[in-house]
Amino acid sequence: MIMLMRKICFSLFILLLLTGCWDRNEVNDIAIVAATGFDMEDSEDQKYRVSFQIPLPGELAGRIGQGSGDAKAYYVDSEAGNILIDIDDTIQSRISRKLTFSHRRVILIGEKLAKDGIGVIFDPLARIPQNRMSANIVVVTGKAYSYLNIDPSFESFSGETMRELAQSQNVYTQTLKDAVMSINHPGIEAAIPMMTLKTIEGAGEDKVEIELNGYAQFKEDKLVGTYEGDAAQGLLWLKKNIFPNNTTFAIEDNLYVVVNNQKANTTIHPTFTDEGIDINVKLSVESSVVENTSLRNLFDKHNLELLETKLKTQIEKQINQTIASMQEKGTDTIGVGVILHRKHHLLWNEKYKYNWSEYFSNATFNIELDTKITNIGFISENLSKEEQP
Amino acid sequence: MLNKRRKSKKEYVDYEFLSDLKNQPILSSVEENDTILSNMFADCVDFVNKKFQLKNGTQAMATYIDGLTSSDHLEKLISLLMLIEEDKPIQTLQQFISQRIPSTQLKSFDNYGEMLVNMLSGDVCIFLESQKEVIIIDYKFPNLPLQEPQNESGIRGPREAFVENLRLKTSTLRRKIKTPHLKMKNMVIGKHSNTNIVLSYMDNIADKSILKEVIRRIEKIEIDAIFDSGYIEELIMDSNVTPFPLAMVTERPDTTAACLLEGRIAIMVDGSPSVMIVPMTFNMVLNASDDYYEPYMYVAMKRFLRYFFFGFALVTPSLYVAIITFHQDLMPTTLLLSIASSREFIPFPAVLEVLLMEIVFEVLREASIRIPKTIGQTAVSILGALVVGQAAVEAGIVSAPVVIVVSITGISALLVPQFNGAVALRILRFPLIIFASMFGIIGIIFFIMIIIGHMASLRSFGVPYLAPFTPLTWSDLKDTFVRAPWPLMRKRPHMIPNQDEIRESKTLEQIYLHHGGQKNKPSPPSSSSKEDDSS
Repeated sequence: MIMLMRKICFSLFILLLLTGCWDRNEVNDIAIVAATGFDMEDSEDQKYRVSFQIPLPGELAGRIGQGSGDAKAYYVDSEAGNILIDIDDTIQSRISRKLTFSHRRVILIGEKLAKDGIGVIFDPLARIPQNRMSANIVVVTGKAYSYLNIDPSFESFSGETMRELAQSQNVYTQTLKDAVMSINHPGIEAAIPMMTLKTIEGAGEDKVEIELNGYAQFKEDKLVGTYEGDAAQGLLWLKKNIFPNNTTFAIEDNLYVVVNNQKANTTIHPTFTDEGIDINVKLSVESSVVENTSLRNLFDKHNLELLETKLKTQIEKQINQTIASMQEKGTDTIGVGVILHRKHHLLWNEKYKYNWSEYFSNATFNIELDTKITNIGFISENLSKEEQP
Repeated sequence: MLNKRRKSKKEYVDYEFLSDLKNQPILSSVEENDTILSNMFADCVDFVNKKFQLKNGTQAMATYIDGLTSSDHLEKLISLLMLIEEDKPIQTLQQFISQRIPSTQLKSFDNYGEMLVNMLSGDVCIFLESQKEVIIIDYKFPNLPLQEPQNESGIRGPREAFVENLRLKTSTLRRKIKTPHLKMKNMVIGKHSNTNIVLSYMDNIADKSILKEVIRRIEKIEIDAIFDSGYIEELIMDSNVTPFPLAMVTERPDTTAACLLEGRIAIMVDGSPSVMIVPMTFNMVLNASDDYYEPYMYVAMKRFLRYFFFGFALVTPSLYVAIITFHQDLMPTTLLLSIASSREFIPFPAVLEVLLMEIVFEVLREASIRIPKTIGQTAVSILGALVVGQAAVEAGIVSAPVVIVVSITGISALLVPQFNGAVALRILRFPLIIFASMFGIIGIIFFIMIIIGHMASLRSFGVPYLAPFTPLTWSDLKDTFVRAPWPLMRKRPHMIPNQDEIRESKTLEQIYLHHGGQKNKPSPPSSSSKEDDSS
């Protein structure tokens, strides 16, 4: 028994001598990086600029507790250089707390860098496990660091705003991992959510908010165009990324109907023909009416059929616009190549793999649409319409 | 030779239940009855047989269970019988009863089965020479002076607790289990105190070798005094280098009786209401008495809470330290930010903070036990809540999350029904926090592996401490994370060696399994009405 006790005491003593706490970090000794912006500089000798957004826990405490102070709840620092990790080290040398990247949930890419190619950022991001590959990636118009300094109205710092925006339901969300996979996988190109600054009307002087305005169109790792408006909506249809969203279309001149699309199913089926490749897109949509500015009675079967036809035209228009932008730049954003690769493995490897964007640009799209309006709501016609005898 | 065999047959009556003895007639000889009863009640210190002679020289014997029967009444009766002058010789038992016995509540039986049931319920039996019947007189104590359990309260089930007096303890147990198989072996230990202790066990269930080992270890004790079962616990246990209890301590008679029926052995010490039960297994720490009285679904929920929060109470403070100081990556970002903001101006490292609060919590707990009843509990709780809860946080000495962590762990430790099991938890929490502060989660895992290894190596009188989990006994899992419905608890636990594993009849189990628990199918109305008519 005494021997046992001695052994236990001895081993506990040895444990204390071991270099235990070497990687110990108190929470108040770390700087949690919430968002990082990557930009390309104009000067030649310093190519890149990296900017960090770091929440200040002390200021956050004030916000959570007793009202808000005037001080900002975050700190933005940036540095230019040629090697990304070197830039991190330079910033670290003037920040008293250890930079911690494990909670960075959004990566911003400036427009210029995106045009030059974003491949350069992925190596340091993917190599270190503390960097979350599940962070959202966002392309911004202009300089990325200017977005980090925006004071958002709802969140404590803009990184969180952009993350929430990029993650919201009817957005084609891209994490770092998704983006890398689309970039290096033959047969598919990346589309990354794109944000821009918007001055808010009626919200005081210079009130600026961040807005999601479409998707950046990538060819390999370079930005070549954007999908905005109808093209962005068309992209969502083709990406099978349909969550309840609204489609507006004219039923007569200046009279509009808005429907909420609740269910949709897209299939993309490429086939080979003599001229080249036919890509058959099949889409069926179920929608319900949410607004009707015309005076038509929707109980009427003919009106409902008209509605369905118009909706079909509208969706077709959106999809065609997306296809046009894709084929113009030769970017297969929707991944037809991947489908081909899976279905016609040998043919893909022999023929299409190396020249896919050319084949894609010359492919013919056949769109088959089926729209169905299943719900017209509480009322059959516009309430302001006078009753007819 | 022949004579001897006949005699031995008379001395030992073989039976399993008292109902088996319905056909065993009362013998006409007092001597022979005495032999049978004395053999039956061997090792029962509370069995009393008083032989006396009536004035006319007839042999008589009174037997009863000490502690259940009021001996004052009996003594008066006996003196009456011994002294009263004989007018006419007694011819029949009925005559004797009507002429000699002043008591009002009496019965007579001619078989052992019914006689024993009455005797074990507290009645006095009077045997007369050459009478084939026995007189049963009701001299029960009206009620035993019992307390409510102080430390083991439950919602449903008996509200009685053992008291200090040894004889009251044995009689309380007798009231729960009315059979001569329940033995009460008396032993005296303590060179100066000469304390009576009673070893209680079921001699047809408890394993003989464990019993022998318990007796051997108790006999080896040489100490000047024993004041509580705690002395014996530390003197006879397999290992003393453990924070875990190797003997269960309870003050509830129902728990004790249930344990005896599982083949365990209870050790009762005169002067202390805490009864010690061996061999103990770890799952007893997390079983409460009302688990067996309440609906099994509710029990499943309660058991889950207990098992989960037992681990929770052990690990949470250290996990907090490990995550805060090593693995910030593991936390959700928003949670980290809010913890970071509350820790921003705290001067101490997280370990120190947690240790400080845990120690303050233990101090408060200890103080609330020691505090004189006249001062009352409010002083401690008000001071504690103010000091620990508010002032420390507002002064910026500890952060609010630490207070939350410490109070949640403190409360979850109270879920453990066995007090001494919770003690192990409280002791182990501290080294675990220190390990976590040095090695992070690796340290916690390492230390928990040590704890589990240690628990697996423990034995309580040869029974593995972690049974039935390891070594795994499938059938015994019915009473661990869940408590199986009673119809399915047909066998006693295998993990404790026993002589008789069957607890209830097979029919119940089969009815339960085949009819989905509907035991009493409504019978057709015609037959039931017939029965009513006939009765």
